[in-house]
Amino acid sequence: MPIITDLRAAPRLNQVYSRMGFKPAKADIPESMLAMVDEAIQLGKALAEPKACYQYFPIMRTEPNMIEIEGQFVIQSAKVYDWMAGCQGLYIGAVTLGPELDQTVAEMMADNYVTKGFLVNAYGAQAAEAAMVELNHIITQETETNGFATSKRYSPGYGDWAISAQKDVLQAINAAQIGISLTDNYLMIPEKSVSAIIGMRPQR
Amino acid sequence: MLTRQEFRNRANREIILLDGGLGTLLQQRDLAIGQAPEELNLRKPESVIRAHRDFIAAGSQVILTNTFGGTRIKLDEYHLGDKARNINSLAVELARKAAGNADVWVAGCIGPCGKYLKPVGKLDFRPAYETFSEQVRYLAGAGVDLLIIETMSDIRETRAAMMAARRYFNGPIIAQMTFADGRNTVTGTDPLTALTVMEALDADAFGINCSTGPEEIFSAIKEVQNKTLLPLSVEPNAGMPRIEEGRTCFPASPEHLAEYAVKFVDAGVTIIGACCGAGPSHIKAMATALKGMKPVHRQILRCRSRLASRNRTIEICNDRPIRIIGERINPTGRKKLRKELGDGVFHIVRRDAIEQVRAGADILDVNVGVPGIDELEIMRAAIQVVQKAVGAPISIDSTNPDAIEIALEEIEGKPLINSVTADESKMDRILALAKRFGAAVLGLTLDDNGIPGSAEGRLELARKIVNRGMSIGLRHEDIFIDPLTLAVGAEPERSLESLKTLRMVKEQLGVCTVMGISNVSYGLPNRSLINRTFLSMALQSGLDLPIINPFSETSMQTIAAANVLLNRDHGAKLFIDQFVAFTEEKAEAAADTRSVDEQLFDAILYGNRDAIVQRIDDVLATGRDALGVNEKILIPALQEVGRRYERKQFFLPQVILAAETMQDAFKRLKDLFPAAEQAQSRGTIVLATVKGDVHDIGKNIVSTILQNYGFKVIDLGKNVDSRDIVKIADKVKANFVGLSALMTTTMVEMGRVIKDLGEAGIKTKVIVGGAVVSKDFAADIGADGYGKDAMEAVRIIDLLLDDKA
Repeated sequence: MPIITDLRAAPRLNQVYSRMGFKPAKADIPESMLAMVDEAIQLGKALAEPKACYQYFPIMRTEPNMIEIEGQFVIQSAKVYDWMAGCQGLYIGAVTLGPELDQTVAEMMADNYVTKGFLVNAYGAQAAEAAMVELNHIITQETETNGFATSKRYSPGYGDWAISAQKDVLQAINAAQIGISLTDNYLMIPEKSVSAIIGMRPQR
Repeated sequence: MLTRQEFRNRANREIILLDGGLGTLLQQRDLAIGQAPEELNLRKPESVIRAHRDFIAAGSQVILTNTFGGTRIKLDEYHLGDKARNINSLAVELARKAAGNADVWVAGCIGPCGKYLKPVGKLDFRPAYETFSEQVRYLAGAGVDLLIIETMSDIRETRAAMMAARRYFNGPIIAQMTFADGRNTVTGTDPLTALTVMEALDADAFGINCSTGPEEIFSAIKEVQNKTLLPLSVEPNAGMPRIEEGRTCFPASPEHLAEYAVKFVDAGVTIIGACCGAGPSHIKAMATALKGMKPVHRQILRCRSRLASRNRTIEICNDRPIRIIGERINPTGRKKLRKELGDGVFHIVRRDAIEQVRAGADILDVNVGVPGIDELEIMRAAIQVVQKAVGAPISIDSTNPDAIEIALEEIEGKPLINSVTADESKMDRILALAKRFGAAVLGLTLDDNGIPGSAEGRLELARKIVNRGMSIGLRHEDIFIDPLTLAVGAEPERSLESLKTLRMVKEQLGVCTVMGISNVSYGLPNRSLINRTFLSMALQSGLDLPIINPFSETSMQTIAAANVLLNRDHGAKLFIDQFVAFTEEKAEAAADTRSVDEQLFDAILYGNRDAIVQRIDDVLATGRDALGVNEKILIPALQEVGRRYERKQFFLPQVILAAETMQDAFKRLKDLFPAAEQAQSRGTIVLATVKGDVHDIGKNIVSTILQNYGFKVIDLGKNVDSRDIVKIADKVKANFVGLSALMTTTMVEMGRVIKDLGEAGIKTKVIVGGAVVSKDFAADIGADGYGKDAMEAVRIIDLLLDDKA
């Protein structure tokens, strides 16, 4: 199963600014905060160690509210069923930025640098999304090379797909190998982690 | 046998013509698709001989063996790894056969192994070093005259190849890298950095090959032509390859390359050949054009020494600004850092690296000496972390030769080893490491008898280290000396001896000097005054590289001024740039027409944490009492922040920053409040992120903001058990309990806490919040209030308080 240890995670700056609570354009950031925002982004970049793992699974059987994946598990969700219409298999993937960023944010907060911690955390959240976008891109390229197309991606906890499915999803690709674990309440550790499925269907 | 001296003499006095692209020539003539060119050594030796002979006939004075991809790792791609010995030995034989009696040198050719080293790729240093060592042994054993390492683009891989070549071959070595756009290799190394690293590893010539064509190589060679005494070599491609009718074509004509060959000689290059796409006709045209040409004299701009990271070279020169070694990554006296290193955690290291460079450090000292830890592995990881975070060269700070060696394996550029002493038991080993890994080394003027009291005694030890280093082949410029400082409070005469040693080392040995400054003030009050005074005295006495804390503004300002006074900052340009802004700021402050009250108000409003304590003291100096300052300035400022946020004139981070600043302000004022006021509070709030949930960023923000509204906030943290919340709420007689949860799976826990509080009979109001929590949900579980963000939480609590009243 492919592991990517040098994944690119390059969030768009306007999205990072939005996530930090500003308007998207840099010009909108108040002057008194510009230096701190730049510093938080630089620190966030240095702290993030984006990794990913993913694998392809054929779909064995579908019914209007469920999809069975070969050798793995059953997805109970009408939404996912609709989303994956026409797909003959799906990719499961997960990305993480690793523990360093979370730890640093927690430490900054404990040291009473709450704003700085908040900004670095916001960068991390957007970078984790960007890492998933990159993984999606890699998977799409791989499928297109083989003459297939991909669906949009979908994650446990969206719509009617229970968050508890996170456990099956991470287990199927052994996400522990890139350092992702799950709490009893289905929170991913490190926090800056994203998991998803992406369907594969013949090109129209 | 060709000696290194003979090679250098000839390369300095004549133009030496290499061959062209052997691989592409074989490809055009005899190679099947998917076949390794090196396989022809076994299968079609006659075609390899023919290609060599064609180049010799065209005028090549040096031919390169057909072993560009001859490392075992590279040959494994073609399942030929087991034939590595044959392929390399045969290649040398074939070249010799082709040369016959002609006056031609046979150069063993070494190309990349096909895998990048960490962190660019996945290969570790040792296997890379081993694969190159194997190839070098075969080539040397078969009797090559010299070695050419070429087309390298990863500086760590080039280091591995160069070290292997020096270890197993006594003759001349040419080291060449390829710069994609003429400025950097694809992994980010610039020509000067490549030169710096190869020079330190004792290459006999430095060069550039392949790339996109002669134009780009020309611009890259310009970067280094006056920076080294080594001969320079180039082998350009015949332009950028194009695919035409299914065949790879190289656009540059023989005449084009010949024209450039002349330009290269004019730029100081003496070893010239060509690379991919250049056949015998190109070499012939070059030979004709170069006929009768002699090397030009190069004006070399010497600097005292250089250190490098992967992508940056720091030049240490007498007429350039003083370079600074940042001392912060050192666990001595830093409890938190010591604990982290013990736990194998590196975020302080990473942050210190980034922030020291931002504060102006040019080189970073890395010391991980904590008793009882695995220094080797921690050192390895720390070097990786620092190299990833910043582009500053590293000073490897350890007394343990094994830890130094591990660090040297991880290094991407040319580091400084800090340090070696004149103590016989370790001196030779550390000097040998510096030589082998191409590092500079810092000698301390002490031996097993300690630090000599007199400057003369220290100078003798310095001389011993310099002489010993040079006797094993270290370059004079790569040996630095630290005359050592001791606490002047304890031994008053000794700081003078340190300064005297600096002067003597400079005058008599002429090497780079390094000195840690902060020791001098140990045990005295106002240390920074002593430090910066000593610093300026040391700079005047010949100190090149101070080791200081770059966060010390006074030290950094002293250096800025010293740069001007020692004529290292021409026209005081840097100084003016730095301090005009500073003076303007001052002038602005002086011209500030705002009253001190207004300035304090603005400091809260705009979250100026650096200035807040000063602003408060300014206001207190006017005779105002603390309580009045709080009620008339601080609280209204905070209210203004809230108003602006509601009007969407302020963003959330500004609110948090203002709240943090308010806390600093409050800390300053609190002790000045009358005792009765100190105890006063609007109520006690217990905050917690509920059991099962670890996302507490939002709760932390609520906590920060509530503290500024006169509440006593007890923050229990995250993942807090319901029983603990009940227990504490009871104990502190909490007026409010605030709960947060981010997830649908954990928000139900909030209902449980409310139920438990009720059952325990605790009279408190509960407010809830968190990403997925809604007003309806809050009502369902029986919460008294719901806040969608921190500001709303404050408002809700105010409302609930009014209710009670």
